[in-house]
Amino acid sequence: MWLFVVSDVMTFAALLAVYTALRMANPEWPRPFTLHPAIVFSTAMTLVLLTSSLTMVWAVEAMRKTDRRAAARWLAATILGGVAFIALHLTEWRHLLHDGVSPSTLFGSVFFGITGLHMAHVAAGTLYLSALATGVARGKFAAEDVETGGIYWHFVDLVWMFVFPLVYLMAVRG
Amino acid sequence: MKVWLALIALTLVEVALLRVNAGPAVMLALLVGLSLVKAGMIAWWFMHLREFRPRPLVWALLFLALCVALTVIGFLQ
Repeated sequence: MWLFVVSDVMTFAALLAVYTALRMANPEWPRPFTLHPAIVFSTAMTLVLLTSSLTMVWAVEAMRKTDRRAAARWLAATILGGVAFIALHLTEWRHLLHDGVSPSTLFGSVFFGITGLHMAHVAAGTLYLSALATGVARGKFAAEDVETGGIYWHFVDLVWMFVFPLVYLMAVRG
Repeated sequence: MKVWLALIALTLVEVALLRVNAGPAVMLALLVGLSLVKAGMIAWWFMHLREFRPRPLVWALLFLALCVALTVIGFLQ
């Protein structure tokens, strides 16, 4: 899992570096976001993802104490956080598309590209954790397996810690 | 729980920075700095990097993070 994380770090680092380079090189870079509702919305998404990381920490701790019921419950809470994040994200995308932010423009292509790739990671994570939670509830999987799932989920959270300020906060209308 | 509260607080600080009338370069430096602190906290406490053995691997990962940061800085110049 660590090798996957390291390789994915490079992917996201390259995408965010290109995005930031484009943003800083172009004084006329589009700034479509307003404090309300766009930033309030994306801040809520950040808080949901951070909270799902906390429930993932509790799931790992419960598995270390061999409390499978609690671990499955915390994993379910983490999955709920992931689903809520995706739902909020899709709603935000719908608003942006409605406001005329097109994926065919330079800004739109990098914005939807980066946030779309991240959302795909969250979606894959919810499926992965769903399989893990089902297995844990049925007495399968060891504590190390849940820890490995945790590394993936926290990595998805870690990437968002860069996407949120670089993509959203740096594109707020002045 | 303390780490989570600190991460929430740092996120709110990032949003509050929007009220500061700073140029894009200063804003970028501040936001990247805060993001690195938050990412470090997630890796160190949530991803249990502090429990990682052997230790040289931790240093290798931190060195990789430094390389990524330097590449980003180089890119911006």
